[in-house]
Amino acid sequence: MCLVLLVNGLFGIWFSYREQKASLTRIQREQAESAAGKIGEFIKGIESEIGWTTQLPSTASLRERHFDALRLLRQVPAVAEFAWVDAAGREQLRVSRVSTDTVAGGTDLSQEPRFTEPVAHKIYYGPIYFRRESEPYMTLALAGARRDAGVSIAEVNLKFIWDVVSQIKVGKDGLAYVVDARGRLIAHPDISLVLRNTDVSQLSQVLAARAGGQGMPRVEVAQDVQGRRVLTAFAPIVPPGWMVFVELPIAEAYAPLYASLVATGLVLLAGLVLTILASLMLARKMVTPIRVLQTGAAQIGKGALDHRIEIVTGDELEALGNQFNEMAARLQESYATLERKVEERTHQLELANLAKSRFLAAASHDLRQPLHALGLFVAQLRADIDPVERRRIVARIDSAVAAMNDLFNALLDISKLDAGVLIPDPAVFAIRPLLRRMETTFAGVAHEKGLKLRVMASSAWVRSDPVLLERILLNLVSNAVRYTDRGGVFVGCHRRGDSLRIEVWDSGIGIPDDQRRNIFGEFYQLAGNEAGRRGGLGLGLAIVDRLCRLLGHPIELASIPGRGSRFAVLVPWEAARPEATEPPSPLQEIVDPFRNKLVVVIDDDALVLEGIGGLLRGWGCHVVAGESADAALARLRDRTRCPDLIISDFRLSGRENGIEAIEHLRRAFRIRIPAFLISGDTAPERLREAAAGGYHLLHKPVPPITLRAMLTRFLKDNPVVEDLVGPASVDGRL
Amino acid sequence: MGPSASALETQSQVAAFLQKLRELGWMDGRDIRIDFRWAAGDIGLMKAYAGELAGLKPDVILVMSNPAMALVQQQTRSLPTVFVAVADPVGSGFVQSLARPGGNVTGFTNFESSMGGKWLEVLKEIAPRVARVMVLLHPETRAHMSFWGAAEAAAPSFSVKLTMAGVHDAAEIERAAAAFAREPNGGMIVLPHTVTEVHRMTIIESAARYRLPAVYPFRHFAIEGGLISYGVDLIDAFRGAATYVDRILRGAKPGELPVQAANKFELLINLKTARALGIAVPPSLLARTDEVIE
Repeated sequence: MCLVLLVNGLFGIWFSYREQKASLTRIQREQAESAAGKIGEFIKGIESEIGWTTQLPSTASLRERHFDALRLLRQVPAVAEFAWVDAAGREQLRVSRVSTDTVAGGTDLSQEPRFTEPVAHKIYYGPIYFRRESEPYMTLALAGARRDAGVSIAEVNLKFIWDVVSQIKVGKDGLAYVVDARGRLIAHPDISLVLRNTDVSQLSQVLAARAGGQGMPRVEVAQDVQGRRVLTAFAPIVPPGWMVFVELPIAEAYAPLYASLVATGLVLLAGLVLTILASLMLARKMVTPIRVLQTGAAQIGKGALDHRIEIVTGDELEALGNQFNEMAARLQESYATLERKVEERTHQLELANLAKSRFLAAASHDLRQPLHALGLFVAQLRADIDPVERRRIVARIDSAVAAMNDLFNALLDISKLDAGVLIPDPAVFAIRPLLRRMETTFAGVAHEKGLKLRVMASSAWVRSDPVLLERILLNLVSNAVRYTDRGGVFVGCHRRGDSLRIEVWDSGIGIPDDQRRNIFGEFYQLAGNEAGRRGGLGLGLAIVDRLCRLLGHPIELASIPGRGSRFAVLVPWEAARPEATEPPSPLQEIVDPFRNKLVVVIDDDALVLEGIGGLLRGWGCHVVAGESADAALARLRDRTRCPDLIISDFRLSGRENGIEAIEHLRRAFRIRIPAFLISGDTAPERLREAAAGGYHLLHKPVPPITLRAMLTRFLKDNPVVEDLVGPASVDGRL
Repeated sequence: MGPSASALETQSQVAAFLQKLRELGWMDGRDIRIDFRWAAGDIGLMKAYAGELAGLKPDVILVMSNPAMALVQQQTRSLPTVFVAVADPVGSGFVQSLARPGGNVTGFTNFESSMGGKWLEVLKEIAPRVARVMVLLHPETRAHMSFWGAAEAAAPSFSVKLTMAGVHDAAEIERAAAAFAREPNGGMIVLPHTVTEVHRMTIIESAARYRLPAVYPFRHFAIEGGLISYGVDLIDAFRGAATYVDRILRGAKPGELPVQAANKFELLINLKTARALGIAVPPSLLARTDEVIE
């Protein structure tokens, strides 16, 4: 802003300087020319008046000439003295204003310039001279047209030119003056300068004018006689070779400029002050909020997310500050969310950890109980007891073993589900047979407990994995029956949009709201129910939850503590397909297909070999046992038969593992002999390895009934469908 | 300080002076104060006034005529002084030179000494029969001796015999005229001076009574009945004096202001007087007369 004002001001000054100078110059030159014209006329007038005197006939008497001269003096006040010289150069007449006239004086002037010059050039301008020390005079001489006309000589008082120059007014202190060809002052308003015979020939403007004449620039800035700096212009007075100078002191000439300069300066100053004020205001208005923004941003950047920037300027800065605040708020929110999530996750991890601990505690407790019972029963068997008592004890032992087996199977299921080795095989099937099996499966238990079990038939079809869906329903119904002591259990389904809603109702103890999430965790049993640990392990709903998630079936729970619960599973509904066949029931009657079957058992544990071998032989199988594939093959040499089944421990002490041993044997007989694995290792990796090789894996300890079920599957004429979840775990005893 | 306040001529001169001062920016009573003293030719009064004015310590003193200038110079050598109608200031000791006066005095001269011859010429021209000429002068005025000298030098060429008549008052003028007029063909030259100025009516009346053709130095002599006047225009000199007063008031030093000469000459002829004297004015003279009084 200052810069603009300054440039503007300077341009203004520059232009007004040029304009002022040009206009002053023009005025001065005009005045000089006008003055030169006047002086020229003055001189010419005198010349012309004198000229008349030269035109008198040569025969004119001196008396006539005298009279003519007096007329001249009267008409031309500037002529102080007049003389007429005859052709021979003799002065015949002299007329003066202040001294007596001379007639026929006869003074010889023939050799003087005032005679010779006009004779030669018609006219003669003599040098300026001073009478009485101080009065400027010039001799002006004219020769007549005829040779005998003589010469008229006039002494012209040049003080009269002062009248001319003193009338020239330039500004207040401007003036005009006249300089002769030699550079001497002829006329000046300050007559004293002229009277003092001032020599101005060395003034630069006079030098320039004398040297250059018309060609030189007529105006320049120079010093005048008094040493002042002036703007000067001149015009020549041609006949005498004089010059009129018109000068104006620079100070006055540029006074308007100075005024304009002062004005511009004031404007500049005002502009500067305004600019500074504006800058200060802007600084206050902008810099302060920017600083607030800066420190605020820094604070937020340092993590003080609750810091808020306070700017109340009503402009973009405030908007920016608000955006900063919003950003900080969002950050804070995100941060809080993150923290909450971390907390939640941590809590979940803690819960999981707690669940694992609880699991371990529960598992060890639930395992220890039957083990303890087994120990007691075995001790009783050692004593001599009667056969009735012994059968009773054996039945108890069977029960304890079954309980342990159930526990291990359930654990195995959880393990399998967590390992992700279960791949659902969806199919479209009718729900009716599945529901019927629920009824037949639990009708007995319900009747024993005095409960009313009602399963509503349905003609709906669904898309799901039939085996896994059945597991879900088995667990749900099993739970319902277990936790209901009076009333009944109701299973039904109805269509809800694209889904079939299968519901399991009970009139049991119900589930408090705050525990609804927990019941789907492992080993969770409702608190305050210790006395009636209902023979379950708390794994049922955990399996249901996992299976539902695996299948993508939403599960819903509604419950009123003390009144009962309702579990609902939503399964994709499908249109009925009458042509489709019902899936085969996984719970077929087990026939005895073992007779005379050749089974190879490989285990590096001799005791296991003996136990399993004895058990299989007891079921009518031929058994070849060995600690490795090679050992088994060595014993098979005697036999010409191909084995019907291979049972191998997964982890062997030799170089081969169970899978490799099975492959070994299959290669030896060049036939794909049915085979499964047994392992004491429950790690999910074992399961995945076995699944990858297409082998079933049973975990030790393998209860005889499970072993028998497996044998049934593998030794049937038609090999059993691939079903990882064995029937032993399907019984739903949770 | 001048001769007389009452005279018509003086009034117009003072008016011209004041007018010029006004033009230069000085208004009496507003910018400057002017004290006037009119001694009316009384040398004693003139002397008293000179002391009085010097005692006022003015910024500048304007003096008219040689005697007044001489008296003022006796009172002060420092107060700036401008003179008018002073003849031969160098010879009178008022200034060192015309170009550079040097002291506290400068001004405007009226006549060169050669005018003595010129007046004689003019007198001879209007009254060719004049053979005896009385020069009325103030004997103590140096300049008058110069005029006298010039006239005396020119006298033979005009075949005229000169008579000096030194006067100080009206009685002496009357006596001189009466004595001179006893012989015929007389004429008179009146030199410029306070005495001749103050007693101009006595002179004019005497000239008429004794039928003396006379030439006077200033126009008002002709206007008031003198035969012929030839001399400088004093009004012009007063205007010039105003410019000098102005410059002195503005700081100029009198010693650096050159003494200027009066340049404007005028010739006046009173035809009534001429007729009364039985003079037929020659046409050559009439032709160059600036003003003819009928």
